[in-house]
Amino acid sequence: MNQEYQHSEIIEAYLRNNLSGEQKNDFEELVRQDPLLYNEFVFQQDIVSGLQNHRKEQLKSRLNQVDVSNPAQLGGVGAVGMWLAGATLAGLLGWFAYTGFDNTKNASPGISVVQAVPEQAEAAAPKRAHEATIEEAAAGNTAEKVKTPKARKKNTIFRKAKTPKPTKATVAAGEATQILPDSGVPETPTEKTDSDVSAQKPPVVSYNGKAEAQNRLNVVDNTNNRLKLHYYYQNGRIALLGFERGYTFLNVSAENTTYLFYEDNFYKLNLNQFRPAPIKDVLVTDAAMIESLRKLVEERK
Amino acid sequence: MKDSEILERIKKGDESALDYLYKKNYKMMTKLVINNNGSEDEAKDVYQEALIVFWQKATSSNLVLYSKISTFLYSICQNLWRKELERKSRMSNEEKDAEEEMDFDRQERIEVINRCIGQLGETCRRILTYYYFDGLSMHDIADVLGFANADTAKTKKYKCKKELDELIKSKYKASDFMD
Repeated sequence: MNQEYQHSEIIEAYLRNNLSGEQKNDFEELVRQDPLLYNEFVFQQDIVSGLQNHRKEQLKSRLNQVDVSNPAQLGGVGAVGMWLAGATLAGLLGWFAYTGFDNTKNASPGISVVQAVPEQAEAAAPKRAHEATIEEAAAGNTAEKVKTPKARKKNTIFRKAKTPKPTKATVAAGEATQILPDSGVPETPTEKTDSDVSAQKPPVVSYNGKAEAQNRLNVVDNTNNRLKLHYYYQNGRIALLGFERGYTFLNVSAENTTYLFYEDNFYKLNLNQFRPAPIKDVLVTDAAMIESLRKLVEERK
Repeated sequence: MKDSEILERIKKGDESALDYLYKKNYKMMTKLVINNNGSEDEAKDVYQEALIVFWQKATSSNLVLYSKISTFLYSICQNLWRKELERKSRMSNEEKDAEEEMDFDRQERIEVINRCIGQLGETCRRILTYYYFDGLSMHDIADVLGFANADTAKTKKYKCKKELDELIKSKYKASDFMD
């Protein structure tokens, strides 16, 4: 048994190319002299080769699913993207001209307005580097995308302006919400009128249904007590460790952020967390934010 | 997304970064083969092979790039396609027959092994393929699969490998593996 184990160790080291030149020669000599070892070696070689082929096929089949028809969607500055970004900017400037730049005293703190940005416009601006972005781009999704930092900034200013009535941009954002393919998602207002915008109000957040659907849970592992209430991202999917049932994910469109609601607390998940980390590190403590998120949870019930 | 970020993510086993890379360079890489007497299918095959070579290099070793990823991929594609063209031109019909005959036995063995791999649980399959193909360390496997530490991953890997060995042996006598 012990010898068998030693054999499998050295065969494995040989197949993984972990032996030095001398060790390699010694092993090859041993294989030539020992028919039983030779049999075992051939057997292991075929298994490793089978595992390698399996993985290779798995990766190829994954690549075959990738829509390669429009690589410009990934982040290159295409002509259409430039045009749409320009058009968006022009629209925003026009709106500023219409409403004026003052009246910012009642600005609501916190999160910017949710507005669906056409993919091309997103492509024209620097992308945020995280997995969801890649997954969406690779899947060729167009209806609902991550907001560009540029657009987000504009919209933050946009919200600060007090408006006497629903604005053109409000309507535009509303339409954008309606065209989202996620029919099960309650329609949420994506821009506020003057009655909504005040310093006393909590940040405006809205539920991003489609992105939430993409937050497929990769694994929930309760087996390791040392990793109680930990999380991490793997291939754009969330893995929860040491959780019981009763967790909810909230995708907040305004930030393109995923919040976890668990045992009456909210946690702001970090998409770039690739190793297990305790969720207490990302506990949301901002009272206004908690209030907004709580409303969102209530709406969804 | 910058090359450095793509590389870092691939090193951690992030497959969505591979998708991104695939899509980003698809046209340029396949054009190389198509413009050199290759079909679209061949071009796609070569590009996928090249990308998988890159993936394996990045995950299994501490790959440091001194050029753009696209340049690196392009040279892998060139080499693969050159080898394929040489193989095509070198191979006479006789050689082809001999190769097919020789592959038959091996193919049969591989099929049994593949069936057994398919019967493994998802976690075991992932551990073994990450270890034997991606070349991830036990530490990385523990991270990716959420195990407590590298020792746990090592124990699980040992058990999974043993399970696979026994499964295959139960369907194939060891003597059948002799050439």
